[in-house]
Amino acid sequence: MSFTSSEFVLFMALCLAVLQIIQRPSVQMWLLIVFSYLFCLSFGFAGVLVITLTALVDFNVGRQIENSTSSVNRKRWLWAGLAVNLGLLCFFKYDNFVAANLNALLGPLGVRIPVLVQDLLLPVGLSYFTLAGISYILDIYYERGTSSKSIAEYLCYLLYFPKLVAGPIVRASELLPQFRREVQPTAQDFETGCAYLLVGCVKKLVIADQLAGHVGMIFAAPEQYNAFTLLQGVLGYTVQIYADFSGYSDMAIGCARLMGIKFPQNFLMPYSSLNIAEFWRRWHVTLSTWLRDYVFFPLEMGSRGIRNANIRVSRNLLVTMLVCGLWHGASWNFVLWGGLHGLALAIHQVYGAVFRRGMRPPKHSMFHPAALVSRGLTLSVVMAGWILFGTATPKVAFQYFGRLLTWNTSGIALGSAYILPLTALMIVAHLIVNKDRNLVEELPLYSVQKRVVTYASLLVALSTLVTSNAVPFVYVHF
Amino acid sequence: MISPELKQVILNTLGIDDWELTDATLAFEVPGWDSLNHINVLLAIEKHFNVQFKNVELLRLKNVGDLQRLLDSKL
Repeated sequence: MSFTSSEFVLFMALCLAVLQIIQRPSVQMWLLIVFSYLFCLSFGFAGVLVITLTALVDFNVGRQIENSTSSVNRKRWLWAGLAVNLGLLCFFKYDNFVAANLNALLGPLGVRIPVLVQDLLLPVGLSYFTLAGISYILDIYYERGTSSKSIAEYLCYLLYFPKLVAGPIVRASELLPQFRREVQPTAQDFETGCAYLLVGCVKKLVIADQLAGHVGMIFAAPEQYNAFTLLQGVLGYTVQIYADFSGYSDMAIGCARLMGIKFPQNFLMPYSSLNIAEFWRRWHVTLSTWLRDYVFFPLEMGSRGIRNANIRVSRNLLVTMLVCGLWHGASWNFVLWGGLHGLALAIHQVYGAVFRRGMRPPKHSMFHPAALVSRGLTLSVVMAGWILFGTATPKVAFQYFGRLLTWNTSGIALGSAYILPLTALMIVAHLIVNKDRNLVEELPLYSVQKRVVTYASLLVALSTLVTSNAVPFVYVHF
Repeated sequence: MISPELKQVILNTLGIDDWELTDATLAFEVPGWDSLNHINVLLAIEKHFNVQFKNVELLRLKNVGDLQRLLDSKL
């Protein structure tokens, strides 16, 4: 059941109506669990089983860690919890990848590794609720958070349907206190929720889906197209993936806000970043902060013996981004994508240490030539990464790079009425909008006239510019 | 309460002249104290006060007040 389907609109309306009628927090929590299970079930039974198992394990591990007085026992429970979470993730997500690579390596010796689980069985939201579970266990172990006292509460946290399929990755400490209160949205919550849903729908259905057809064709067979078409392809994918995923996140935030639940922001105008480190503070924020807290920091603490800060930080950034790449999918393309970003972050770190202490963002205007060059350079690295991210195999990606960088003019010239105008729209939006403001949150504070015009414009865009082909969300596959 | 000596070590490492540090201050609220600089601040404190922190102690820190209490427990 996709956020953009008519079934989901009915499902959401029913959920809100029932929550309005029954206002006891403990009953509301069970209702949210029932609705979340129904939502989860619409993607298949595997997800229901795996998420329930994960919830039971995490809940018990959390209690055991908190109640243990011996540090050895606490560590044992921690490792047991991590093993179950990571074990399930590896079993379902990386089984094919590991088996295929081992078979390629060991095939000449006559060894054959069987594939245990096919891709089709991947439980819905596995990558997201695994990260949520790991952060819950680690926070209790590090005494940064306390364990949940009721299995219903924890199940609700892990299952909660607006974030189940593709995040945002919300920490237990942010969500559990909200579930303990009555689910009672204010009028402003309701309007903000609707605004997020409208903006998310426009990003997804009007921008991302319009681009998906042409961009998909170019990325599937780049060897057939000339360099100008390939340039349009990467520009289009850059806009599509942002509109698709930030649109999804907006809808998730909006659904939760309709119930009075606040999610953290996931996208903060990432394409206006002045450097690659800033890009990762603005792109998929809940994932990058998760990686910072649970991968990068432990790596940094563990490698304090390396006194050369540049070597230490560069190594840890590279490892963190390789993990980030692998999290996105079991393919060498994602590993290369993570490696490219890790390398770019490492270069940025060394450059900052050698040439400019602290790498503070320049205070001058966003239209200053230095700021424009910085943005252009950052965006070029990001776009190179999207070629690796969007193609099926490294070979196809390198064909893409080869034809684009040598400006090969042979091949099909594919004309798209959408790519260049939508790219221009995205660039202008990222140049003129203050990247530290959240216009959707501010919308209910504007005058009635401004709000009516804004909502009407969004509705007109939705009713006239939506493509007839429904395209699945990109990040649902991760 | 953050001691003037700890405050000075933090500000020197970050290269800033002055910034108000309270028990509740979070690292990212201080200019330049980002994820890349975090360990440099902690290493500078270890060196200046001649103390050794355990990894798990550092991962438990939530704010500057926690850091001050951890340092006090080592002195």
